[in-house]
Amino acid sequence: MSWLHTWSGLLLGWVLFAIFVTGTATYFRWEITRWMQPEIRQAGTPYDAALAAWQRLDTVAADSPQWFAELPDDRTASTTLFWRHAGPGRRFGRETLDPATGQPVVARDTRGGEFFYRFHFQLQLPHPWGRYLAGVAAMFMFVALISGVITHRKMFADFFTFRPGRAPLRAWLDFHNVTAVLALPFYFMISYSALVIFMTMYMPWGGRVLAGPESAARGSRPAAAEAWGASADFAPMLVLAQEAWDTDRAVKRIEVANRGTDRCTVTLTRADGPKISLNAREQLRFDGVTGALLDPMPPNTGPGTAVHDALYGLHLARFAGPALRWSFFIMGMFGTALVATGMVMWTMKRRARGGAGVALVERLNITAIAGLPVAIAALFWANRLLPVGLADRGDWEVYCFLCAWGFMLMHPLVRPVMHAWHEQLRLGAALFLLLPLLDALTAGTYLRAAWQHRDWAHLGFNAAMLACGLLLHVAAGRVHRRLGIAATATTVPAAAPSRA
Amino acid sequence: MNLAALLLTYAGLLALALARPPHRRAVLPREPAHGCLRLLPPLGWLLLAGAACLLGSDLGWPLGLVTWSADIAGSGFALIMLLAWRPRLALLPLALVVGLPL
Repeated sequence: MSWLHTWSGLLLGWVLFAIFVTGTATYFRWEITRWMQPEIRQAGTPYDAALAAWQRLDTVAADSPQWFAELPDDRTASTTLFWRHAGPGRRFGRETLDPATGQPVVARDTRGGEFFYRFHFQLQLPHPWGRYLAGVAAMFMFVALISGVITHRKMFADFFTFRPGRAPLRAWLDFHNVTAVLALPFYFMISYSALVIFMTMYMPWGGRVLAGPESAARGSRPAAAEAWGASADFAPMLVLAQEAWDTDRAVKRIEVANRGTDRCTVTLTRADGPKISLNAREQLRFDGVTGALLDPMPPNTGPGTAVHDALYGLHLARFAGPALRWSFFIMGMFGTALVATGMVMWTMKRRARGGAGVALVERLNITAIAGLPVAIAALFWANRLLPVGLADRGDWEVYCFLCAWGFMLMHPLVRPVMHAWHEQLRLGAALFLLLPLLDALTAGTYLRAAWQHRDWAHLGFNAAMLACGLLLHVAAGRVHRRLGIAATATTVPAAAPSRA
Repeated sequence: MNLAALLLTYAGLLALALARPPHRRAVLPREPAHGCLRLLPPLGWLLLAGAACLLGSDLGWPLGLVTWSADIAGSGFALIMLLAWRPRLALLPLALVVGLPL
């Protein structure tokens, strides 16, 4: 079964590595957004923001059948509005509000942390292929985990052993073991829940059979052509929510469905608490026409739904407070290291044999493992350096990311393998280490304000970038030492005959 | 409370590591008595179970067990790094365990 572990780990290893890196960053997606949009400052209570969001939706989306609003909390600074355009089809409008003014934010256009979130399951590919590829990668990871546990049962006996001084392959294998065993429950959870989240997409047949034809048509039902009904006043609903939920965990989401009809409902959802399952959300539902409080939605019971919601909740880890969120982040880094060490070991074992396959894998390894950090750093640099007024600025940031990654794909084609590793790691280290300096030069006023207000999102982001830079710097140093050994090893035989 | 559980998992993993001769030779100045050695693995598992109970009663079992597995990953990594580079210092976090109730 060893071959199964080897090949299931390798074939989509590069995709898996990218998913792990961006998915791990997603644990801090709102903090990343705050750094990438430093103009927006936190202000006011969620209840002020809710009222402002409602008023704004009333002006920009008065004829829309459906509204959504995500309100700011201690991790996000801005309000996000979505609304469905009137008429047939599923077209949505989107706007980001400054909670203090209730007007659209005057801030640089950026994808922010959403980029990492989207990338980690869509991979910047056209829908639905990114999700399918991510699903196949998750399946491969699941297979690699099971076959790895079965073939390498011995590793549990002595997983404390890490011998950095030993022969390189031994040390890499030790580290592969260490990262594998330490967070093994996390890997099983994250890969299995990834499959469960999109299970109706990956395996749609059962649902189709059970649902029957009439509910399959439900999604595309056009908005009712009845007379446009007036909706109830929002402020009293908010007062009820304010009485029910304290400001620590206040209202987080507003959803208005079937606007304009007599079936209009307003749903207020409370911010996520320490409950794992997504089923545990607290909601208040109101009749959108009369404003009367409705009975809560009957929860979807049944063991299948309960398992699905618990796994979904575990994958998103929204229940995690700061300490646990950092733990998940660190376990995500272990997973990244696990994938990377596995792929590097594949080439180390076969390097002496040579051949086109090894050369290809080696170069793809460089692009994925050393090149992706460069591309991510390029995204952050673009965020600070692109002109604020540029049209489609958020897209341009992503182009910079993709271009940088493309260069990192070309670079190993023209350089010897170990030199390519070294240069890309050094470049990544330099870009990350200089990022706080760039931040100070280009966004100094926001950095100072963040310092004065003890805004840990902005400051912590810079600290994390320094840590990433140091990690890459150490890795580059290790490769450099290997380069030195390799250089003496090749010059000594050349020099020996002349001496003799 | 969470710090106590983190230290308990560390102590448990350390006991399991000390049960293995290579790590024991690197960490301890001299070989302990044979009776002590036999107690190390059960002690390790007991400490890990204790951490799980502590977190479970504190946070509820679902969140407690999630935190427990995260704590094992974190303290295990710290232990392994210490064993690899500074094995003598591996006992140092235990001083905190002893010091915590005082």
